[in-house]
Amino acid sequence: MELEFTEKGIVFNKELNPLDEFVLYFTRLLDEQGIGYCIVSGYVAILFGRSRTSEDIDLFIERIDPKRFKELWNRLIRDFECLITSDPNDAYDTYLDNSQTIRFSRKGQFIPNIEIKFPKTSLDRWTLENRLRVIVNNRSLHVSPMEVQIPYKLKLGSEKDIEDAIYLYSIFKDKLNLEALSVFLESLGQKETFRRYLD
Amino acid sequence: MRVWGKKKLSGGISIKRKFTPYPKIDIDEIEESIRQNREERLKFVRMYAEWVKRHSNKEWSSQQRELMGNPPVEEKDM
Repeated sequence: MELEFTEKGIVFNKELNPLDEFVLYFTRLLDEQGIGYCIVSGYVAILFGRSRTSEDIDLFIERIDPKRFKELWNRLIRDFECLITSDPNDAYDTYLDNSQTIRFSRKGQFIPNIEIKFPKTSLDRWTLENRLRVIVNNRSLHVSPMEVQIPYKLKLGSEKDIEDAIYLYSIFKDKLNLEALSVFLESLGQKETFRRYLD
Repeated sequence: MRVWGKKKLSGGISIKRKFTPYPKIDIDEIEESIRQNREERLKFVRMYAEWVKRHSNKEWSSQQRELMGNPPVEEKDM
């Protein structure tokens, strides 16, 4: 695996799969709208080579006001549809502003879809603030720092999540900020799980 | 572009990213967030199952096939 760790972020090339194309297109629209975001789901492991697929991709967007959200909505619905509601006011007031998620898929499709939400916890906000830039095939996107992603996946605890954590740790262990990793393992109560599976 | 550690992964250079101050984590808040996410996930799975039931085999299986990285097939191959 060839990864470049640069000031701009992690740079690499790969054969893009349909999920990559879907994510890169959606996140490009967020960038065009000037909306900060961070991908936090299993897609992070898939991006870096984990051989599985996913029906959905989770991401946080920065908390924006209804006016900016409406602008984003109007741009998104040219190519996507919201699976939860067709009303942007409902999407914002009932869902996003109440810490619930909304999902967008390509028009006429159901999967894959992107689940977006506002950050809810201090950990969510920190993750968004410290997001990691990845430049894949000269196209940019932002993901959760591995120092959070790995402990959080261990916390989620399903077989799939633990495998993702093991995979990401194996790929990135030489590059991690070990102090940060330790802080999050401790805060999320995963030191023992880490020792069992990853150490 | 300044490049640090451009090499194959087997010979790593430790890069310490500078992070903002670590957050104070309320584990109950995290667990509630996880629980809520799980509920939303299950809601999605039920929604998707309903969508599959309402659509033809060709439609849902084409999307599934595309998601798994295979190109759409001609109808004669089905």
